[in-house]
Amino acid sequence: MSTRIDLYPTAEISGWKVRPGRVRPYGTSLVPGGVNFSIYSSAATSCTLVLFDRQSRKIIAELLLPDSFRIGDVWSVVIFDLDPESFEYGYRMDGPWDPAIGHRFDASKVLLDPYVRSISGRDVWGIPPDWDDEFPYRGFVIPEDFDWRGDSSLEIPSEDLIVYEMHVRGFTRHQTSAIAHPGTYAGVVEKIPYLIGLGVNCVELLPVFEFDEFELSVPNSYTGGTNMNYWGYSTVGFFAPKAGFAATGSLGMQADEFKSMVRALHQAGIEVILDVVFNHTCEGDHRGPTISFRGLDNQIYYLLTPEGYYHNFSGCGNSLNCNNPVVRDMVLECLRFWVSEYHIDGFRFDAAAILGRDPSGMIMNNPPLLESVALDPILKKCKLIAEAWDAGGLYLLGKFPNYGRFSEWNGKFRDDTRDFLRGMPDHASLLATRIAGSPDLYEAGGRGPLASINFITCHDGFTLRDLVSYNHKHNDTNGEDNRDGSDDNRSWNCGIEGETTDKEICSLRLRQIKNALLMLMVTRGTPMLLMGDEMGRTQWGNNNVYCHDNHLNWLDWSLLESESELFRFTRLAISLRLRHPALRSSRHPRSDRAGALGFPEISWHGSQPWSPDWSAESRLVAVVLASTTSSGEDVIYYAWNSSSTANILQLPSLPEPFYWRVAVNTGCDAPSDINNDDEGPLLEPTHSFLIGPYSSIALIAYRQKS
Amino acid sequence: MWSPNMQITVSQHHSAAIAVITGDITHSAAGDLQEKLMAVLCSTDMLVLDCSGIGILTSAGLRMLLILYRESKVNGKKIVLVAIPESVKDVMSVTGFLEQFAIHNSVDDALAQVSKPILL
Repeated sequence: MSTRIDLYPTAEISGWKVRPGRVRPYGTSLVPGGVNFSIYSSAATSCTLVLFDRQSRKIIAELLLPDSFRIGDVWSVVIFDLDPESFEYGYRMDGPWDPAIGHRFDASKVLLDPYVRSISGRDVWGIPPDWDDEFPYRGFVIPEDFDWRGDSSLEIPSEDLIVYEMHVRGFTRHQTSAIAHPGTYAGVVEKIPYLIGLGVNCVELLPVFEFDEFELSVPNSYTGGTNMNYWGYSTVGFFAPKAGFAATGSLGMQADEFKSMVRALHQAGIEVILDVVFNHTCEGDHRGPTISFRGLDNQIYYLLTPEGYYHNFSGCGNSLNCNNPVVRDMVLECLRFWVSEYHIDGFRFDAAAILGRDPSGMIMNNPPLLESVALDPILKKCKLIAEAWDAGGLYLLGKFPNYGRFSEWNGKFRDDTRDFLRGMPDHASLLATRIAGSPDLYEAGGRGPLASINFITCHDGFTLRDLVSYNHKHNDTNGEDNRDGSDDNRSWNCGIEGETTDKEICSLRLRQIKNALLMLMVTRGTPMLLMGDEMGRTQWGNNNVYCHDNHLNWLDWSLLESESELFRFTRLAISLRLRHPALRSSRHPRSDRAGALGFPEISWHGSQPWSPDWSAESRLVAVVLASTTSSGEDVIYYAWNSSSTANILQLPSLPEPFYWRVAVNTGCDAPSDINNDDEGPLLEPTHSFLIGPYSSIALIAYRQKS
Repeated sequence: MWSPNMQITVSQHHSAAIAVITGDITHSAAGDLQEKLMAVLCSTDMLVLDCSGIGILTSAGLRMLLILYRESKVNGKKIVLVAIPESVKDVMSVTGFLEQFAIHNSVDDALAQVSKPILL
């Protein structure tokens, strides 16, 4: 017998027993005896809940909600005796069609609930959709009762983080992954031992909110096939995990599988950061489909021009009106949801500059969305990373509204390190600035180097192997006559464009890759490694592989064998960083702050110790970092030579009983290219060191045991 | 996929009850099955669920089994799943359910454990 009177229906609509629902939470929630639905629209004149049979996909009921079921702008209803596994749902919203003032209501469309927790329609990746289906995406209800068995977010300090940027499908889809569930969340779990062996402690997943891989289904004139939305930067549902990434997507169990993945990664000491796309939705501009927001409340959800068209700051047709209070609440609620329900450790905000724009598209001084996110108690411990620019020309690197919380993908780190590595003039001092954690960008306001996510490559652009193998992009396979993708690559092919068997060039390329990896691992800030760079993954010169579900994106695990030298180098370079606290301080190093063994915290050198060469023609940067904590005597010397000639370095002397021990010398063949701490050769006190052309070294101050 | 074809037969083997489940365990079948299995559990110390005849085990079916399992622990009873079809086992594995149950390969294996403590 029930003990609550609100467990009984009070009315009947279209033959279904109902009662007015609870307006919050938005979306659906399981309540005793039924399901609560709640949906917002500020300008709709009526709201009809549409129920589909999940098996036949046919409409089984349309419930026009009476006005008494509306409070303010929110309709809600409880439907009783509804089997959660047998139905799907959407809404018809009637209202004005008046694009000039922003209204695009169309009651012929069944709309997806913006807060829907699971979406059907693209359950199995790549299965061609029914193009005649008028309502291809439907919501369904899932229980939120996962047993986390004591798991919680790891809260690894940012200075200790090694980020690995990866695509869930691309990571294991290749047949060489040799696992049971290729291309899925479960597949990521199967490869956790690999991630542990590599030494990374954080994975940053390219978009995992439900998207439609068939969204960009346009003929590709080059391949003769059809392009796909492989990357997924086009959200269909912000609260729903991508079903097609789940081995159990066809059973609707993607949420459980996703959570199992997060729990397993946490058990392995690996954090999970999501690449989230709040700057736009999958509905495109005025020519795009009406899937959800456009038909629910176009004027509220999108940034519109005075004529009622869509501002396109995202480059994808529309821009979300993020600083509208309703949209702001949705974004905030979404982030809270992923942190609390999925135990996510952080977010990387795609084209985040849009999140700081006002309804007219102007940048705001104090964007309420970003302030709310930064100061939210539920989000307080998670990492917040901004891509501090957008496609509308807003570039906020170093000045993203951060409230002491947001770090940034450091585009200048990428550009300057690339330029230095390829031997461009005028870059010695710029490299020094990047080594110090980019104080030019992050010292003011006390943000410090942890505001800098240091990366040389990411999903968008060349892989590291291609960065040293191509001078130009080769995007013909995208079917746009090589017009797409950036022309600003700052790459150098080392002598021949593309793949070659020339031993000297191959050797130089491998050295350059190692130089870059060392740079990534010894600089102040948080390093981010692109999936596959540790084993020489190539995209054959394509720097914009967003549309390919094939070998251009899938990690070929056989590279682990053929590129074992590079993998070993990467693994030990990561280990070097994690072993040496001097490399991971959360402050910008200062030359007037005392460090270990009589060195300042940071000191600059050249061919002669204490004599750096910052001239335009200098291609040598040498630095000593010394720990400032009382517990350690951690002192590291490292240097890059980006000239085509070797250079003799006189080393700064160490006090007795310390000797320089060679940790890294990319000029040497493996296994002498990188050593464990206690394995490299010790140098004589007065030693000079020959650094080869396009080479880098790292030396550790080692206490000689008596 | 949602056909209500689930059936259950129960037999007693010393102090253990053996329930053979056949068909699909979906939301529509789960409530009824849970009721029946709870009744069996009341009159036995150990319940062996022979899963070899299960076709589809949906999210609701899995949750029903887990609820039953948790209930049994509260009441000092034991539930063991045996002979889970590989396809079902795979789903249970990747969704995190499998590790929460005591599993045996066969009914005989499970019964051999009757006199031994079961590590849960």
